[in-house]
Amino acid sequence: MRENTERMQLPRFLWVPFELGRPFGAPGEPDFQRRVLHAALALLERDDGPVILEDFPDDAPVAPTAEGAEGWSCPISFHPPEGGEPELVRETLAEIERLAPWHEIYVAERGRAAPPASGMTHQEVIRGLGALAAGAPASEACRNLPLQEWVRLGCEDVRTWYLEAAQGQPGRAQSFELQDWFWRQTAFARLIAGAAMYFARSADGRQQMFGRRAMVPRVYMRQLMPGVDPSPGDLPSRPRSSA
Amino acid sequence: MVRLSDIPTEEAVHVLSKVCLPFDSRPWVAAAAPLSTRRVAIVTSAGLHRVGDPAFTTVDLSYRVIPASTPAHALTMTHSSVHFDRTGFREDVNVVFPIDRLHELASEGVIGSVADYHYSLMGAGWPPSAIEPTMRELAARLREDEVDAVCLAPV
Repeated sequence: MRENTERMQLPRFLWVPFELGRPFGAPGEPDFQRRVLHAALALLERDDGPVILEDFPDDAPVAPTAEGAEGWSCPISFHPPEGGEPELVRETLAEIERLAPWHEIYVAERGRAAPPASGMTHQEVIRGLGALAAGAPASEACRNLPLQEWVRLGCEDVRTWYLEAAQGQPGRAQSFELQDWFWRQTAFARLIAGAAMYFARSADGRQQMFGRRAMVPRVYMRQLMPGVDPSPGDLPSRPRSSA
Repeated sequence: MVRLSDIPTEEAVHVLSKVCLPFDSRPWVAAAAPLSTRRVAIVTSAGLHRVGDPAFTTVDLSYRVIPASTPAHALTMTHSSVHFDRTGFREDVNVVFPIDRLHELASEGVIGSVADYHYSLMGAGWPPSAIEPTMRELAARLREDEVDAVCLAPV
């Protein structure tokens, strides 16, 4: 944030107004990326320090929306199959199945599919999170990674896959529309939140922080994790099992 | 990175609450040489590494080496945050780690040369003071590579 950078008084800093995760602007925009990089490196030739905070003048290029098109929405409706697994796990697996063709289109169009950082399959991640949401530690899903690490990397792998699948669909969704769709409308987001509750209720302080702050954006916590405050403080007690 | 007005109020309040102390001293270095003679490296805090390298953990003070010749498809990202997503990086590594752009600037003569090695860190989970020993080690490695300009790229 520019405000934080001002406080830190860094010697040479180029502030850019781009969304988080894209510090050089936008993918597939080499000329724009080169301008940003050159603007940053050009600060090395300036002698008007000791603090230079330069603002990059332009917003990142945005893919044009089709003329007359309204806001993006995902037209797929998810119908969970019957089965013996927890409902939220079944719903998420059904989402994966329905979105898979769009992800194939996305990969065919963009040509890049890096391996998952967690080394886990989507099904392993989903079933592991389902176990956590049900209150079990899901050790069989760990693949030799510590609990929080496979959860962190696994959630990120599957969330990335969802966002890529959404971008494979017709229409040009803006980033905020994709995020809103993911966190408000998908079963996987609710599954993440269910697992986050497992951590948020932990007696272990680091696990609590992880569940409260690292798994669900604050802006969606009210909807997905009602009663949980991201800041330290009292947490709702674990509900009694009906079993 | 990103306008405060572009993020939800809850996030903005959280971000502004972070401890961002100024340096005790002013680590200013005057422009010693034109950019066109400089050997440039990228140090990213995006948690990038080669696919076979160990993943970064949540609180991780180590670094990974990225040789300049590493192809984009051989890089992965194990930084994670609910506040950004990896789709931009997966589509075009240069949106996070502009290595191709750096090579272009070198071929155009804008910079002198591209370093043989670039570096990546996990940019979250630790206070700035905790990373100082790591950065001093990195600085020594950069000097060995005769680097005299670094682009510190966040994510």
